[in-house]
Amino acid sequence: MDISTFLQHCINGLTLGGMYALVALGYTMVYGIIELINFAHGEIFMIGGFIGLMAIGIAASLGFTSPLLLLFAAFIVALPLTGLLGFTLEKLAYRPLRNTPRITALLAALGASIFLYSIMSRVYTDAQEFPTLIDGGFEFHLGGTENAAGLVVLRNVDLFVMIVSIVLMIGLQFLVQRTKLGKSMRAVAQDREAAMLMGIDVNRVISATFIIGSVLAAAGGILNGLTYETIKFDMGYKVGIKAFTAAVLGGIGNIQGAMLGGVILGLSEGLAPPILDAFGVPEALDYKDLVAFVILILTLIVLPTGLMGERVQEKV
Amino acid sequence: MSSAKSLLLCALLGIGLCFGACGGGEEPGEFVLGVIFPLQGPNAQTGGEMLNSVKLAADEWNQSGKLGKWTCKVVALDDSGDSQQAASAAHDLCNSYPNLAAVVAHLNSGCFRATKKIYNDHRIAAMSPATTNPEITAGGFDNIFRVCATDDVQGGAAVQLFKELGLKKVALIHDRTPYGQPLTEVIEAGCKTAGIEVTELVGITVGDKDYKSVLTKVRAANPEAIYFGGMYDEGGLLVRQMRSLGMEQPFFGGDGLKGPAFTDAGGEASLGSRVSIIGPPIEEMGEGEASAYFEKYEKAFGMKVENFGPFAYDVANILLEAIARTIEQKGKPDRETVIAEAHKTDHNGVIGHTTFDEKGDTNNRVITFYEVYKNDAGALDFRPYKIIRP
Amino acid sequence: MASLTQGRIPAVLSFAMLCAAGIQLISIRGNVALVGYLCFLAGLFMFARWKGIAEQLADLWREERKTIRACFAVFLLIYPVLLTVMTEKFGVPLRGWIPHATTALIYIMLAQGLNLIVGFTGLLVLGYVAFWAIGAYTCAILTTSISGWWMLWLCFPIAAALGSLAGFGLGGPTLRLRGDYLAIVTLGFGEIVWIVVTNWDSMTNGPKGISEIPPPALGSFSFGDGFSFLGMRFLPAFMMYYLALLLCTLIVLSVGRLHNSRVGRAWIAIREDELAAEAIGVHTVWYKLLAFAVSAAIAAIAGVLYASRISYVDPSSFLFLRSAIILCMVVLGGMGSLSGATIGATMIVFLEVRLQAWAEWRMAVFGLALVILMILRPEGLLPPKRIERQLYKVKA
Repeated sequence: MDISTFLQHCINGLTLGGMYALVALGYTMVYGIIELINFAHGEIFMIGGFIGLMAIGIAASLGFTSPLLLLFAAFIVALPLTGLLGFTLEKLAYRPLRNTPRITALLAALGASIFLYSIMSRVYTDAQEFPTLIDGGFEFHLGGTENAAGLVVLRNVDLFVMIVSIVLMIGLQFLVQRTKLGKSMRAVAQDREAAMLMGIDVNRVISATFIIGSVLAAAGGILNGLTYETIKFDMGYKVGIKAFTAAVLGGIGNIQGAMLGGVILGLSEGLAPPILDAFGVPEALDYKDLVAFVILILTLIVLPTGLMGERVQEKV
Repeated sequence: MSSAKSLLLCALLGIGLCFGACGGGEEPGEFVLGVIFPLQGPNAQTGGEMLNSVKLAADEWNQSGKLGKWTCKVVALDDSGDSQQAASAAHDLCNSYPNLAAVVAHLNSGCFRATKKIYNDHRIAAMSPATTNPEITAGGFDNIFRVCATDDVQGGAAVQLFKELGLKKVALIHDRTPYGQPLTEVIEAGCKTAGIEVTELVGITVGDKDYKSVLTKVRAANPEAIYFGGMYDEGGLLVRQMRSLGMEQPFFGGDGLKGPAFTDAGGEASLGSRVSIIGPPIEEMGEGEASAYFEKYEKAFGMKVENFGPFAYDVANILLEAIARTIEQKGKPDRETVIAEAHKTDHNGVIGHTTFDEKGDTNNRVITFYEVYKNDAGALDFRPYKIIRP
Repeated sequence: MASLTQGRIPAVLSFAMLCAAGIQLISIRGNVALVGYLCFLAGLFMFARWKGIAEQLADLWREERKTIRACFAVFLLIYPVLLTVMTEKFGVPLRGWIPHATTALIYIMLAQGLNLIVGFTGLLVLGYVAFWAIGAYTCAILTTSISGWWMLWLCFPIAAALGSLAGFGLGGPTLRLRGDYLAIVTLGFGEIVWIVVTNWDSMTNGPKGISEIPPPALGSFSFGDGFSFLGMRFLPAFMMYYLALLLCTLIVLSVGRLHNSRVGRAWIAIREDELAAEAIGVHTVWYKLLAFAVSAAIAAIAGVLYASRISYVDPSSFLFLRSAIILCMVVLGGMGSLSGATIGATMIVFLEVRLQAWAEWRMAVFGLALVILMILRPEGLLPPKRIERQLYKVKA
């Protein structure tokens, strides 16, 4: 493998990792606070993308043509609406199950996921084109050859995705560590009853968590549309599972862990198969999806609570 | 108190019994044309369009009066592209409708392989618009038909085109489904005998959105062309990501890419892609039949035909023709006769001229490659590029 | 009304009525009837919630346990005959429910196996379908490469051994993981098996799948053939049903035995409090591994039966959604209870078939129903009595 191919694989892996990290945040926040694997999160991510697409369509029909304005329209409409969806979902489907065994809430989440997926597959039956709002990029020729094989391509949109992801993650970190809401979120996560006794409105905090998680997912959905230029109703499933894997890899419930897990997963998915292939492992590329889960299992065998999860001492 | 509750239990069961009693079967004089397609999941769009096309054909036949005193009722079930659910749906269809005359079934080869024995057990003619795996008709059942080209035919045509274009190095990508993988494997074998180097034969996963890592690997060997065995949405994503990685090679595909769904997903990047489909170009067929279907479909359902609709429309027409002939002879849609009549098919339809060989495969083996271009209105469209005859 | 709630005759009568209602319910078609069916299901859940009549019936059935069991056995035995007679002699096309019942029996085995590990031992497994796939592929590969009717029967022990080996393989290294970490690892395991099955072309034939798997046979007698008798046509599905019934009964009975044995009690102790169990001398590592192995072996056995019945296996049947649906069966039925898993599996298999009436909206309705049923009755339809007594009544 020459240097240009290697660099290209790195870039591919990083952009993928950024996406995983963004979606993983939603999983990890919800899990941290009510210990629920929110299977519907991938679907919220997908719906966020579609709302963004609709907003762009409406804005374009109103005569806006500037890509920046259209992008702004997508974010300004999709984020609150998707947040509302997350809020509604929690209120209708998860809240009634809060004091039941956790597995029932898990199944309700699964049901919600199947429901949202099927509804969207009836509304938008096939892949929709997402307008190219951020064009262009950098191209470097490396390795001496003048054909495409020696090219390293870094698109502006990939840079944009990385920057927006980083900004959102820093914002989230600030929110959780420095604001009052963040403090109450951490309190509820640590001990719900004690938080209640301290006068924290637990229901409100949980709703807020769902809203923030969904808003991040919506941003992820739009960024996904920008990167791949098409969106389809099945885009939430694979990303959802991988992002959840990333969240667990980083230590579920831990926000920095989710970011780290996402990037590690993306990079290793982008790099491991080609490297193995270069070392002569047959059909290494076909087993690309295996990488994420093998890394997860190996990590958990060594560190049972993920890379940055708390080491919980079991009490007797 | 307890008696009230006993009464309530009785009432509940009574309601169940009443519902059972009013459960309707079929009207007399009505036969059932069964349809099993994926109506859920990633291929729901394709399945839905095929179902609509079957309904369109059935409506036309019902209005034409050619079915005598009989009317055709379309019963649609879902297989979700899953062989297990396909088998369940086939059992349901074959057992629950005594007046079932024939089945239009399956988009996915795997589903048809799981159900063909069930259809044979019930002696029902089953005809597929889109399953391309050669093994489906190899089982020796006389009631299994299909109107699409097998992988052997389509793959052979692709290799022939490569030869004519003088290509020396190609990369083959498939979608790891029972449709895409065998197709590219046929092409790989063909390339080997034709002396064309295959730089890579690699699979992607349906549902993934990022194929750049596979493409970067493919790019490193610098092939002259790329062939994708797979469906519209993945094809669109793939061609987009190819172009964004600076790969300017021509992009080829099979009948899973011939349709607006591909150009919708691929956008400008799909310009110049060449995709094959069975049958001569519409323009060459002369008859107004083909273009009439597209207009009728748009009028009836308010949307354009995007993918396998024409195949399903032809299958429905072929089966209904066979059923009509059966009704003429026997006065009812007798299953054995429908199978015998289906073998005698000689049909001019949207996808060309269809007759069947003894296995139930179509003799229509003309493959046309289409090229994606920008029409005068500035929209992406397909135009005939090369016709490959056996 | 005392006479209505005591004695053998009311027990038989109430059982017969329930069966009749069930058969009527499966015979209905069309939208109105399906709405009725969904209402009935919801009603059943509400009803079970509203104690009283259900409890009365349960008491009656418990008292007349032997009679009810006999009734149940007779019903299961004559079920396909009944449906065939109704189809052939009375023109009510019910015969399709024979293969569906076979499907239900296979899923009952799977639900029992999963229940054993999720319900009894309390370890959440999300990739259960992987063990099923191992069984199905073992059968497919062995019976298509070695001919002879005895091969299939050999497949059962081989698949069970391979399955439990895989169970050990998954359970061993991950025993330290707690709760949801284990869940995600099992989900990953499910995906890994799926990916391997899809890509290992030389062994599994990849996405093309393996076809022409012979049906089960004993010498020259094949379970996959139909026959005619008394002027009635009996479908190929007819004998398959009895084979599935036999296997399923064996599995349910042995799981029941295990549940009431020392092993079962150890599992329940682990579920209730792992540390306490260890403290009183339960060898938790061993019993957890055992749970993994037994549960995996059951799934593999169900897989063998599944493959030989459907005659074709491909990876499309072993996606995550299947694992999720099997988990739904266990939880909807009532975690940790034998009859719960049975009822849950039957209900969901039949619901999936019924929802074909709305093919285009099938999964949407299924998802919605899942959420609503969970909210209506979070503990499942028939939660195990022992838990209820231990957890709720004693404390109260």
